Amino acid sequence: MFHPVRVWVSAVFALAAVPLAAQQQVATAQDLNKLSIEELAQIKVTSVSKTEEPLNQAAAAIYVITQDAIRRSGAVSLPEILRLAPNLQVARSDANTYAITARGFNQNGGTANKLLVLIDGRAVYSPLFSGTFWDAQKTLIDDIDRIEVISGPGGTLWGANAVNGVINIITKDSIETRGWSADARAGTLDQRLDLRFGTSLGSRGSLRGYGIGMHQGEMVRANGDDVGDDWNHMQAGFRGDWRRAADTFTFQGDIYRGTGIGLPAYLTSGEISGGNLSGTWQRGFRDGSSLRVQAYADRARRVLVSGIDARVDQYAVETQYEVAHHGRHALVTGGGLRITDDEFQPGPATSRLSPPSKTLHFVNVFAQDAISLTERAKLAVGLKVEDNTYTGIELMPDARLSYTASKRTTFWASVSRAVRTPSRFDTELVNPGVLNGNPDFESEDLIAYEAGYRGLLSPSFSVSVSAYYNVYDRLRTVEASGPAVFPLVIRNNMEGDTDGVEVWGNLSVREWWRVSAGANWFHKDLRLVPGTRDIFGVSFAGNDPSYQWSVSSDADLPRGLTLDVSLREVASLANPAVDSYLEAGARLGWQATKTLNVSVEGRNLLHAHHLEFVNPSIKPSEVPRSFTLSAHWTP
Amino acid sequence: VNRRAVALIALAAAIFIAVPARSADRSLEYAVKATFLYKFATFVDWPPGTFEGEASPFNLCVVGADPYGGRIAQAVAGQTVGKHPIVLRQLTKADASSNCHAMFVAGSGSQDVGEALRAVAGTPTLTVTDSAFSQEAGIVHFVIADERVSFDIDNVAATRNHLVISSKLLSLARRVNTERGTMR
Repeated sequence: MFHPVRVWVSAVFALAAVPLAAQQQVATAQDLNKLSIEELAQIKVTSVSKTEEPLNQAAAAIYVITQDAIRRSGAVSLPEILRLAPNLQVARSDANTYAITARGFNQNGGTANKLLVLIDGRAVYSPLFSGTFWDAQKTLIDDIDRIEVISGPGGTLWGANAVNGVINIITKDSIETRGWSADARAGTLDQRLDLRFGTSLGSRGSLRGYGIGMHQGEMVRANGDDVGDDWNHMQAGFRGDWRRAADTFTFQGDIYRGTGIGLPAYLTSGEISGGNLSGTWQRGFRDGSSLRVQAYADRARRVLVSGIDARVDQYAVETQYEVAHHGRHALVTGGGLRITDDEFQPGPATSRLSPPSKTLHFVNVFAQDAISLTERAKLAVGLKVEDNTYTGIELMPDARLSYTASKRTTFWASVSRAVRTPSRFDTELVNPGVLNGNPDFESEDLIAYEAGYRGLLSPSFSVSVSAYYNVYDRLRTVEASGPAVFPLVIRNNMEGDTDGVEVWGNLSVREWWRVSAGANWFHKDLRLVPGTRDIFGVSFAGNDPSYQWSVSSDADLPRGLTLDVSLREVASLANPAVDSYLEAGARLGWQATKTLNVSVEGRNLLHAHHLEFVNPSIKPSEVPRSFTLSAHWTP
Repeated sequence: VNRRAVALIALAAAIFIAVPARSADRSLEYAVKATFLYKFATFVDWPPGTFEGEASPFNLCVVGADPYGGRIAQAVAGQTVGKHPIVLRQLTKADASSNCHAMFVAGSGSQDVGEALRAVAGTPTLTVTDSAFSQEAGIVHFVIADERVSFDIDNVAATRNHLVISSKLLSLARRVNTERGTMR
């Protein structure tokens, strides 16, 4: 009989039995020595990071959004930037509320709980409900170095809640952001001003400071009426980097406040505020090993019109040590401690948390060994052990095999386990007579089987394909406590599987013209455990399109002009129902002078407004067509 | 087919990452910079009499620890500049008598980048610095431009150190500082 755990165990043993070849990998230095000085100057050096380079052979479905792509997309907020990743599902349900996930289980307003998001190594998910409040996550657009989007589990390296994917937002070193940058966008929907100044500090350091002011315009009803959900956001922050021989020290912080006046019916209207401070020490050793230690503190508060006042403080220390290649092994090991302290004051008519204030801990250690089996085959095996307040010890093992079939082609496959640990809402939510959280709520569990291919079919054409089969167990259900139905109780009585395919590719048609395309297909088969008294059914676990695709064309024209157009289609959603939609965007940019770039952009051009996602608690709001005029000045 | 093209592809294939790294992997960037370091010498003329003989050593000095994690030593192993075998010397402090033909300066605990550059100013030393580690620039200063390793050249400082840099190397630079101002 098919049994996932047994299959996983046998797969790991099968991989371990692959014979080890004697030959070592070719030393980089020898290859470089053969190159002329002009050829050296032509090598793209940004490695995993800028994985658009198809020759980088990460054994995972990783898509990298580069600063250049962000700039050319004209996107005005982080969620809009994330639409560039073909392995994410992004839907807007409100001016400042997005539902974002990978590989399904999308839910509204931060309740998509299977995706882990990090900004410069700082986890920004809320332990209240294991989701990300996208309205609170902003960075100066020009300071983003890249965004790594990994679909598939990342529990072994990133820890619990990296179930269906990881989004890793990485900002530039402050040495790269010296001088002024001003970025102004005036649009029919959104307006935003980004200002930054960076400077050297002596011969060893550099520092930047920034400010953001932003207004996100309101959505519209199906009949065209304004919703009244517009949102204002102010943010300031800094980052400093100091270097001394092999050491680099980074200090950074942000502080923000967002307000939405909105209608009282709006769950999201109210005020959010918060800030964070982070320090990172990195040391590179002579043998190529490296050590990274990061500590951070983060506060997030939201006061909603419903009367809810929720505060979450997080404190974390994390270390990672990468051992240089020892023979055929490359080891990464580390550990971390994260403590969250929250306080949840309910509104007069809302559920409450019991106890209203709680401190949670998460402690983890992990190790991963990447073993060169042959010159072409590499096996990475890893395990993270994490202890949390609710369920104690959780194991997150991972095995990834990659095979470089030719210099231009890599195949990879993996088996891994990830968990979503209980949140405060799963365990301690109380609405007397109506709903009770479940202190015995268990972690949701995933065993994922993945395989992929990356290839450079010609020097100008690259393709990535990944397929997955995910087996979930103990998913959250909301059940009747007995024949009287109420109070409801939260349990773990859903299970099932999902499968899907993600494809993307890039074609440089000409030196000045690039075309890229991406698509994903998703299928789920969830079921309730027999005997459960679940009242919402499997659709409660997520509202996901069965496919989506996008195509974009980026052209560099004469006289400093650029013309970019894009088209995307997202399939329909079942419950609540949303029709499939096709939308288009276009942007004309002009490098007017060496320091000034101006552009005009249109988004969602095909319809006056279209529906993307419905929050069942409020009336549907639709995303209107918009036009934006932007100027980016970098003296 | 072009052997160099094959080498380029082999090189890219050698940068094999089995797991998505949490921090940027800079190994290729560092290896390219380390290789540039000794290849620059081919495009620079030292004043007559600098070398004792046709096959006397070419002294490449590194002031402070190799910030490229040992890749400079890997890159220069067995390499020559013309017929001069490259000798790698690790210094904690540079001075006018260090006898370095080329010197890479990332700063050490006992001498920062600016001090090291001033210590060898006026001597026939090709100084190289990296914008990733210091804002003080030597004759050649590594920068990253368009995702590639590039460099700025200070030809005024080169002349002061009695060095003549070939037009080919100057043409590869992102910026060149000359007596008449900055080009490009």
